[in-house]
Amino acid sequence: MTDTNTGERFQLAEAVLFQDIQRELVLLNMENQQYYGLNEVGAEMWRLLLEYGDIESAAGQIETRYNVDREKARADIRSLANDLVQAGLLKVS
Amino acid sequence: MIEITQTGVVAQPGAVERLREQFSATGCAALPGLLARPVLAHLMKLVETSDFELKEEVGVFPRVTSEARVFGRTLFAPHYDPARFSLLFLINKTPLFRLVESITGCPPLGNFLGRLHQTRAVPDQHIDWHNDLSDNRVVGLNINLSAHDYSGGLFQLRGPGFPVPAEVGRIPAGDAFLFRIEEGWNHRLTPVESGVRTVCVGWFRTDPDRETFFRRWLFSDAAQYRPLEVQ
Repeated sequence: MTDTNTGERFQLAEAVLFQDIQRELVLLNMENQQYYGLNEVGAEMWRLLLEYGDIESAAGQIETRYNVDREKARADIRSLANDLVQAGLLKVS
Repeated sequence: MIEITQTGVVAQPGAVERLREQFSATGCAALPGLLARPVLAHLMKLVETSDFELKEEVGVFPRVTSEARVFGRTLFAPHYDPARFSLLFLINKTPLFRLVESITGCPPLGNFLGRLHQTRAVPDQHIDWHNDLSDNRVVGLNINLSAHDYSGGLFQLRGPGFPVPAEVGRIPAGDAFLFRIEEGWNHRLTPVESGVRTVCVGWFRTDPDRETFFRRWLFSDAAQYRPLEVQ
């Protein structure tokens, strides 16, 4: 599946590890030794992005599962995906 | 086979039963390919940049003396070392704890604490018989991270009813083995005869629990932590 707007596909970057720690998802970029925390909402978006690979599909899942407006879900996921790509945690193709 | 990948832990069907038998018979259980290749490749790159320094291994042996005594000397990576940090982050996984409990019959595990050792073929570097019995440690784990060949540097383990020590020599990088930590069981590292032996060695411990361990240890270095805000 591809993002219907941009065709972007998201994948876990090779040097990244992650762990569920209580209600937080912690991500470690082994290349620069930075680690990052995602709250429950962010962690769910992260999982959906990894599972489905594109923003549109992940937004659809958020809309269905949590009754969130599709536009809002899409914007939130896109914003997070940009941060994750910038931090080297996701790679885009 | 048990493999730690970037995203989780995978155990082949029947692996736990086979490893349980091995551990029961020898005090050791071989974990070939424990670290998945892509993860290992990154860790090996980090190990290359680790800044090892010579330190003494010190312990208290109650039956011998109440005072701490030096039982070995080897090179240690510093407390905050990128390879060590990444390994501890990787290994502290609940599914792995459950597998180790099932293989070894140890009590419920809370965390894994380990360090990076490097031992060279020089006269003063070796680790004598000792037991690691302290600090809530219940099972040992040794992961080979040596980039090149070495000789000597045998890990030996002996226990009650096992007069001939179990022995583990050079194994491929990313391979590992579990070893028994119990009253009456001791292990040592024979001198390295050529080359350099680099390993992660550590202990599955019952306390503190995983979350506490992560919070106290991982978040203690705030400069490295970047919360990503999601509303």
